[in-house]
Amino acid sequence: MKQHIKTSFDSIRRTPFQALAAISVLILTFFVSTLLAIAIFGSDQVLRHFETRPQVIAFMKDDAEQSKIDDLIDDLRNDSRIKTVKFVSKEEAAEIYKNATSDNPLLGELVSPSIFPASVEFSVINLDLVEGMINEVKGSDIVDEVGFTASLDNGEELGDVLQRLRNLTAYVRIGGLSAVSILSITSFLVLMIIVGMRIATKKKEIESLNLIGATPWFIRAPIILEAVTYSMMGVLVGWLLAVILLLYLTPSVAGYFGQIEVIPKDIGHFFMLLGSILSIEIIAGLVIALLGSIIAVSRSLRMVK
Amino acid sequence: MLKFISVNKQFGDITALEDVNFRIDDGEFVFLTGPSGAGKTTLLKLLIREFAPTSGEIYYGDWAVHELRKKEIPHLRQSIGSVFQDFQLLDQRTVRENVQVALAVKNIPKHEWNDRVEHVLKLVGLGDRIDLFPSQLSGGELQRAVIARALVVNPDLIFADEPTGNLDWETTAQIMELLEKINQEGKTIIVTTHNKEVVDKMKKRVIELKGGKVVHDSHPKDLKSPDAEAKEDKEKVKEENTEK
Repeated sequence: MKQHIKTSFDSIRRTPFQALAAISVLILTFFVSTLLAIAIFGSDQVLRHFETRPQVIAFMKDDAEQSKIDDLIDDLRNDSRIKTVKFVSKEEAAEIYKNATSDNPLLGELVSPSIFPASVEFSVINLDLVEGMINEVKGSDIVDEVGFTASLDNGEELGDVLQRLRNLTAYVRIGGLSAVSILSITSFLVLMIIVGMRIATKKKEIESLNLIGATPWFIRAPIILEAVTYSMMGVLVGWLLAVILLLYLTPSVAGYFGQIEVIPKDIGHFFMLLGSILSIEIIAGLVIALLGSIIAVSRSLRMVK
Repeated sequence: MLKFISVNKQFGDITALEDVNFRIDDGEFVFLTGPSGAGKTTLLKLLIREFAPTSGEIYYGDWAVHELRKKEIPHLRQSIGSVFQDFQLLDQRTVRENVQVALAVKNIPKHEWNDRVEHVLKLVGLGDRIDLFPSQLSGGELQRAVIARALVVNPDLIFADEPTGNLDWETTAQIMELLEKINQEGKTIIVTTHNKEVVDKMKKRVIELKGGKVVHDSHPKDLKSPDAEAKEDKEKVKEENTEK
């Protein structure tokens, strides 16, 4: 194997411009792929953020017994139309109020938890189901009032915004996958052409090796290794450039999206995301290189023989 | 031992070899002679299975060459030292690397390479040309480099296709002397040539081809296929047992 690695590196060294062309195309492919993967992750996060926001808040009557509230929560949890359920006690409501008015601490100090109603916040799997759910919850004798948070200030419904986000996410996915597919096919073809050229220039050498008893693997291995080297360099450099760009853009992106984690804020999650992308790209790079070079080698060797 | 039994080779309507029969024993030095187009090179190409015979049987050692499967061909070629008419050296590699390639092909451990390469290159008189490229060598030196590459894997049989084709008389004599030296070490040597002077001077066995047929063999040998030989041996044993 060492001999094959040495032969493939010698070959790269002797034709640096072919190598540069192949590596450049692969760098571009994996640079764009990395950015698109992060964009898909970010758009998913935005969608999830809005989808998992509590859409309905049922305020409990002051005299509502905790056991009845628990029964209501259980009923909601067991309802297949409900995605998330959360109970907010009077104390927690007071805490939320204090946090919301932290710029004016006096407001927080003036109120006691007893004036806040306990509430059950929940979201539904489909916004079309909201109206029915509101009516059902309203019918409960422990519920005082039901609020729907999906009405936005400018008169738009959350459902419209969600639909737009879903469309946007779909566009990012379809557009991204199309771009990555086109770039992958281009990389695949460039690798095939370069491998074909390499074999054409080595025609005499291949004939000689064949005559002195080289096995097909002995002839093919350095050429395939060369393609794998191009591909791995493309993956690593493309990924690294995307990561550098991402690190540079992170503060502004995080500032723009506020509490939505379009890029993981936790450093562990951040590198886990990038690590996963790199792993997938390494596998994709290997598939492109192996497939491209094996097909090209088989085609070209048939012609040489 | 090498045997050709009733070997025919056709290329379309052209008959390259017709009913070729001969046996070459281990350690022999044989010239295959004949004019251009007589079938000498075709015969060697059949031996390394660059072509398959149209009909007939070819045996080399334990190999039934005519029946070899595609994946066995590289192993056959690794066991034969080939010296080609057009050298078949790798232009972008030095003499040392060209010889090393044969070792790499045969999967010889790398720690043995240097000693073996230096030994054969000294033997062929290229000890001081080890790091030169083929383009920097003379015709005689190229021929020696090819012989070194053939020798380095220590084959039992070396065939040389017109090894003196483009060489002056002095260099031709040197190459022949080298091949004879290798033969004296127990290797079987087959040399194709149309140079009558060389053949006459060396006084070795000569198999002459003309129009694809063997027209003369100076030391003809009995010829049986391994199956026939085995059958004969069995019968001999049977006879001996009956006598007892």
